[in-house]
Amino acid sequence: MADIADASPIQPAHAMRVAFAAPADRSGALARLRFADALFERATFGAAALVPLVMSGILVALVVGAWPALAKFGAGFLFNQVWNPVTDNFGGAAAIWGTIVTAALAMALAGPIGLGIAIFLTELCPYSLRRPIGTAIELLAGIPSIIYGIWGLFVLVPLVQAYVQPALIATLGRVPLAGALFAGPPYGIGVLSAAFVLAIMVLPFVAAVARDVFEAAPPLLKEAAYGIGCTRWEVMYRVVLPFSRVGVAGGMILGLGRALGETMAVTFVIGNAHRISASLLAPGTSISATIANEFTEATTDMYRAALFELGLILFAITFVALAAARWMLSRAGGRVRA
Amino acid sequence: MTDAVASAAAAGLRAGRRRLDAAMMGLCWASAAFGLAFLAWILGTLLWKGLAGLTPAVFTQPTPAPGSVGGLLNAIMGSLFLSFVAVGIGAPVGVLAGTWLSEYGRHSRFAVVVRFVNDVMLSAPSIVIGLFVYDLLVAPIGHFSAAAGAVALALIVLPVIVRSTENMLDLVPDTLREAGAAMGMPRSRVIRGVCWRAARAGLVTGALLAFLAWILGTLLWKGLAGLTPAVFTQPTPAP
Repeated sequence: MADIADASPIQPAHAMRVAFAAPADRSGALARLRFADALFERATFGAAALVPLVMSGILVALVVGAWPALAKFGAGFLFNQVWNPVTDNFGGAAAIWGTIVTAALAMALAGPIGLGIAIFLTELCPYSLRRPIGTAIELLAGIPSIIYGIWGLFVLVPLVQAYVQPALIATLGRVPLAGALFAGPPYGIGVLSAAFVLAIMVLPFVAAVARDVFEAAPPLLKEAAYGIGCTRWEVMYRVVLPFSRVGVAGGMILGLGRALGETMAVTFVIGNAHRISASLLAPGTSISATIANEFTEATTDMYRAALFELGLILFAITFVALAAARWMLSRAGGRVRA
Repeated sequence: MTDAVASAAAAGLRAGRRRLDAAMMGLCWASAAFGLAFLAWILGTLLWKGLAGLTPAVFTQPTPAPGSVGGLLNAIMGSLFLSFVAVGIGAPVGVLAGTWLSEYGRHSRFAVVVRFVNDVMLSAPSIVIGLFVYDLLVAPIGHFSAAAGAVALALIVLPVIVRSTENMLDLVPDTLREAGAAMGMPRSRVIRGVCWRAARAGLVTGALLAFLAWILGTLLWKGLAGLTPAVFTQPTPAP
């Protein structure tokens, strides 16, 4: 019997030998095994419990760090545009506005394009190219964000400054009301450029989730639609999209979460000016860009507290967005992708 | 309506729908081309400019004062140190946590909470984690340190490892576990000897790929001629 134990690839040799040992040894060995087993379970449980512990730690640390600013400015912090380190007067409005505007613009760009890529991958792409192109799109998600920032600043911004922004100012800037959105000198950097780089970063998330949900649509439904003479677009628009609506929306909110929190790429390209201006071509700032730029220079306690408060607000915004995404995706029953 | 008028109207409608279909599918092709074009552009610039600045000095000399010639030795060593320590801290905790989620706590209420929190931390802004580690390890001690950076990176990496461990372990069929139990192995032994071993390949490849992508990406950009290295030695975690 011992040779079977030794030959087994899993080597439960110890346990097997215990089974055939003398009764006195056996109870002692079993007790040791039981203890080791319980220890293992406690250890894994401890590790798993560490995750919510760390998150509550983060929340507590943020609140404690932000407390001086929370106490001094109260709710006015959300609406005050002034950011004056000299007089210790801080308001987060410019940063919050920048975060929300860049994220919203990025989603406005990345949403349709991501859906287009998903439709391409599920309907139009030749079968042999599907996996390579799908992987290539997912590769966009894997590029570190600092590279997006550097590429944005050194490659994209000069081009935008020289060609794209002057063209926008000359054409759309002349339109009566909406023209104010495209007014001002062509800096190259600015809210629009930051939103564009963010859109490219978020695009693969939307495309990947949408592709997964489209592939889950029952082929029978699609074939029935083709059978009554629908065009490919009509099948996508009237059959597959309504079927996948909740999953796609969840994927978009996931991308929104990433866009809200993105630091390095936005910091490089947004211009870091603490003001809200009507023009999209003007420099602005976002919460993460502000923290990244100014944290090491924050000399006074109130300055640091204001930055912590910005971090707390960002965490709250992202938390709500992600909670909504998880809830929607769990309702859809689809897989939750990072 | 007469047959002729009806069929003409129908033909007109069909043509209109076909035009819309062609336009929309064209836009889809354009979106795919957009995504791929930017990927090629970014990667191309990365390789073109990065490789141009890659000389042997990059790996042997430390960062110089701005304006003079040098290398990136300290930055490279810093990156490697940070990555190894971060993975060294994050991987064991992450694997254990993922194991608990998959084996012991599969459907329990606490597991649902842990999975949710894990996903929140996975997508949380890394700068918030940086603030947390600052409060914990930098402010009390009085100065920045590589250890603090490594802990921050470990916290960023932890949710990824938990998620991937749980997914890989979920793929192991229950029949394997039952076979182990039937032979009299205690549960921890079953997990260690059967499940971890089965999932090992996937875990290691995944972790290795992520690590390599991060290292190669940041290193290649550091070879960019003329870029001040100070940007990369900031304490805030980068990716």
